[in-house]
Amino acid sequence: MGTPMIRVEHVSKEYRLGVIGQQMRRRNEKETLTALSDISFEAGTGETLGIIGPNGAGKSTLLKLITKITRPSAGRILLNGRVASMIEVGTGFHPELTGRENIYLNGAVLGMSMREIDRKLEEIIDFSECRKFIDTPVKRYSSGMYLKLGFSVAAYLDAEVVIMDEVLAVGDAAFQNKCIQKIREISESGKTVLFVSHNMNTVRNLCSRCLVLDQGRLTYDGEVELAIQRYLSLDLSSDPAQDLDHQRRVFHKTGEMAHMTYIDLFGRRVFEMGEALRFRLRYRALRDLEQPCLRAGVWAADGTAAAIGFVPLTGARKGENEVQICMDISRLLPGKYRLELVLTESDDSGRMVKQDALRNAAAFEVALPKDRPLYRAYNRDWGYVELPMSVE
Amino acid sequence: MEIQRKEQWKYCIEPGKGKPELGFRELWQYRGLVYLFAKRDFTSRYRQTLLGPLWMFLNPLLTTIVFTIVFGNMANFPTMDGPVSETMAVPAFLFYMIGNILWNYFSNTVRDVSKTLTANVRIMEKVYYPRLVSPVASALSNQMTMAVRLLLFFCLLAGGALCGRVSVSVTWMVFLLPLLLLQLMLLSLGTGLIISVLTVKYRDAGFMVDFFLQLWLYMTPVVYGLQMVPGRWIGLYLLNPAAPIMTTARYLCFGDGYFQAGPVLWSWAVTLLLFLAGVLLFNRTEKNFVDVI
Repeated sequence: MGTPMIRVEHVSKEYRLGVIGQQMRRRNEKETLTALSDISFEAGTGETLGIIGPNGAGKSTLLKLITKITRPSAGRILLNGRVASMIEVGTGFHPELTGRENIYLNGAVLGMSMREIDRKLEEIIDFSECRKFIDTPVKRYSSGMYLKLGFSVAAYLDAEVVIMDEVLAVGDAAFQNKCIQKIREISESGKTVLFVSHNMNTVRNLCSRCLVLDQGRLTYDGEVELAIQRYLSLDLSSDPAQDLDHQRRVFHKTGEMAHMTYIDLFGRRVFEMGEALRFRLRYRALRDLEQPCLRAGVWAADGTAAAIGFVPLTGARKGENEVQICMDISRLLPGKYRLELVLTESDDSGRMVKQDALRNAAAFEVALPKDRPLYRAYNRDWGYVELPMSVE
Repeated sequence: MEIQRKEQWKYCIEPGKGKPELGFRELWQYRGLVYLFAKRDFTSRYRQTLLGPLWMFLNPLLTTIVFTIVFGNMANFPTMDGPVSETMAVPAFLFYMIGNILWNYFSNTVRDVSKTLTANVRIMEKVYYPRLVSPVASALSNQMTMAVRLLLFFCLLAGGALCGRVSVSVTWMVFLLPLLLLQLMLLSLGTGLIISVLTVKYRDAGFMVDFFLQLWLYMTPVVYGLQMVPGRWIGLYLLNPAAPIMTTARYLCFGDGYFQAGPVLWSWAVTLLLFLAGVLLFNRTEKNFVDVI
């Protein structure tokens, strides 16, 4: 870390809930939502800091505080340079104005002076790949061009602290690569980059350090790989038998006629490739379930779905139930995974209702098989499943 | 030790209830944006109209004609600010026109400024720029419209004088007019900003604006001359900061009418007070307004 550029000190943010006007009558009633509580961290020049966490964890709020869009309720943020935000590219574009005019407008909104924009105009146009249309009103642009132009303006900001929220979902694959390259350049030129994303591979590629936010708290600050594991609940050090009763349910629209209460992986976390995953699951049913089914999703460490399995649960009676499940994961490539469990019920008309859903029921790791032919080499970028092949 | 540390840092973001700030320096840093916003307002206003920028002239001309007929000919309001002088003859049309142009600027700016926070919330919740930029830009773009209209007014005045229909004694005093326009801008900004702060929490303020402006118009010598105000009420009447602005404007343009230092100084004092109060209140609200709106 170079010289410190940003320091967040015990920052909290509370929002008042309820409707204005009604508050007057019930002033003593305190209905507040804590979006951030007691966040502290520091970052220096040349650092690219990833910020990850589930939706509603407070990432956007944190960025809004750093960019002065709204103020903290407590604590303070110290900065040693200008902040440029790329929270949503293309903000402030005026549809009637041409691309060139919008570069000026957008640049000025982001804090550039007219002279600064004059100087960088050609570079910005080149980077945006929109030169042909630069004197056309942006309302005639495709959405891709719109975003490209927006990113290009923001990318040429001369700020010491650069904040980015999901901007990489911009344009086609080629332009995305260009963007990543540009962000790397920005951080290598000694700037401090704060990067919020749900794409774990981008975070891995770009960031040198990572923060994990969960329900407004900073739960981890450090090494990128560990942060990602923490976020994806791939923490393999915990007990393989877990109480699911009080785990947070993140899915909507569940019927709630069943409730999974306990899972046990029979004391194991690591499975050698080729082995099967066995677990015991307890669930409580509020009534007899008709044609119940368990859906198990296997999610890989980069946050993508890798595989799926279904099994009908026979004899799901009202009350406590226990089943033992075997899932053939023998073809999963080595790596860390988490198990998502969804309990469904369907009737004869084919309608299916989710009765309970758990995003992180369990985490496990698939290890390299001990004796394997040398040609069976595995790379994380090659996929999640190995398909058997033979010569005929 | 802690204080010393803070000084190593260039910027500090603290909870909203800090010490009051005017924020003029930051506004100056963003002067380019002020210019672009004002230009955008000005150029996009007459888009998709048949007559285009011609409206800039038509608007005051038509209103002035209506004023002249309704208030001048039908209601027979006096169009003099002071005792009738023998040598001066200002047609009612020009009398109404200057008041109309200034009042139009004033009411439009108050209305636009009072809406800045609610109208720009989409962009303001995405990116930070000094919030004062938007109201100042609306005031300036209205200022540009007014400048064009004033030009028309002076053309008519000069034309009338050349034809001998108008006899006025224009002196060097007319060059004080920009000072008056500045005051008008500060007054409308101050009033508009205070209303905009109220609108953030209670939209009622937005509905009140039009009524409030109409009431204010009747209390200001725009559709009638100061002569109509009974002598014993004149002291109270001139407490309205907009009243001396109107009479002074006519005094500067026609070289005759009503001009007293007292009301002018009072009007300036009220203007500055409203302006500073407006800016301070606005800056205080601006810090957290995206949470409330």
